Amino acid sequence: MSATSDPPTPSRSFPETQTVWIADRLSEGEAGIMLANGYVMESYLRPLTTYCSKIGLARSARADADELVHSFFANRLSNPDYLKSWLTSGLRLRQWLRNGLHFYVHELRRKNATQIEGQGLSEEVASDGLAHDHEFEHAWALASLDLAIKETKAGLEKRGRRDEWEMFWSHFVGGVPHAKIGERFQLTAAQVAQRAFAVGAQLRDALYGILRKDGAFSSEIDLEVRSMMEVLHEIKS
Amino acid sequence: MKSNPDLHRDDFGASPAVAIQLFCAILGPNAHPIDRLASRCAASDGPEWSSQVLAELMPAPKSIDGWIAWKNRAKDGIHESDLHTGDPLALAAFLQYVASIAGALALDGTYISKTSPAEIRRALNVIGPTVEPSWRDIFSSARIRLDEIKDIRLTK
Repeated sequence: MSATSDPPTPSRSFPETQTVWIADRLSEGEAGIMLANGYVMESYLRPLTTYCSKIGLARSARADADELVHSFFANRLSNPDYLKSWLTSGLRLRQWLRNGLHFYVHELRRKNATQIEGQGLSEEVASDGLAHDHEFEHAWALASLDLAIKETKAGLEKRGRRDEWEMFWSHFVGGVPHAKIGERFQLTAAQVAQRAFAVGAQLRDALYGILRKDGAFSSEIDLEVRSMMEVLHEIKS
Repeated sequence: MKSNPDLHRDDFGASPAVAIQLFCAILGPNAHPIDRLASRCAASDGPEWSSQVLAELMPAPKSIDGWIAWKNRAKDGIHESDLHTGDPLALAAFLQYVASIAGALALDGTYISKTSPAEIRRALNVIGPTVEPSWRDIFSSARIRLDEIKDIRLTK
């Protein structure tokens, strides 16, 4: 992988152009398309698979969810124009892929129906998906956060700062006061606070990078994060 | 601190409760107080914490005036700037504030807040499921009453 093709290192300031990274990769020919496809598969496999399982989409295609999503990726991403079409669609990438998955399942069902004489073909698969937006958004929120966590932790480990992740986690998730965490790491409360805050900023940058690749503008990102929280609250209650 | 399997993992284990805590950390001071409170209640000691905070409102007032008195007392403890940094005392006061509004709504459907009903509805939805069972019922009844009210006159 060349340096110019690496996924971008999250930075504190983002350009206002959306989808820059994927658009750039698609303009680089075959190698770039492979990188873009790899990113799409890594980022969207889990939410799409969870979604398929939850709404019974895989069952309707007589496949297991994982297998179905892999075959969907293989089918659609082998077309070099598939992601290019997304760039002009005006949709978020996750919506584009989810719609695409429904059409793919529809095609599979049509194919199966022509193979089994007398079996009717229903449009329910495509319409079912619209009623399950919430399930998909829920899976997407969790998968994106997971991806951002992995990226942040990998960055910290690379710099020999794994401890800082533990400080962040202990404080923000465990609710442990900075001073108490400091005792463990032989640091002052202020030093722990500063490190935990910095990790939070890195996690934020990682998540913002994911959201931007999905098609969000920088100005919309806080709103996107709030929407992600909202969808989690709704499932929880 | 109570044991919570989510918190002993190296990741968040796809737990929506932990995810909400992380989203609050990501948003920092821009996180909404309702989300901050939900995040506090989702912490490993959250159920115990919210029970202690709400125990201060017991016995539950049997009149609207009683709930208004509780609400005003809670309101005095809410300092906006502290709330946005997740200060535990401000969050406790905010929980009592929401609970007092819920108590009055559940009692006879009186709306004792100047905060918009949409905001309060969201607070009832988000915070309600995280509090102890007796209060959970009050939050739930309050939400039902709120949805039934056609003409809400905002009250102090």
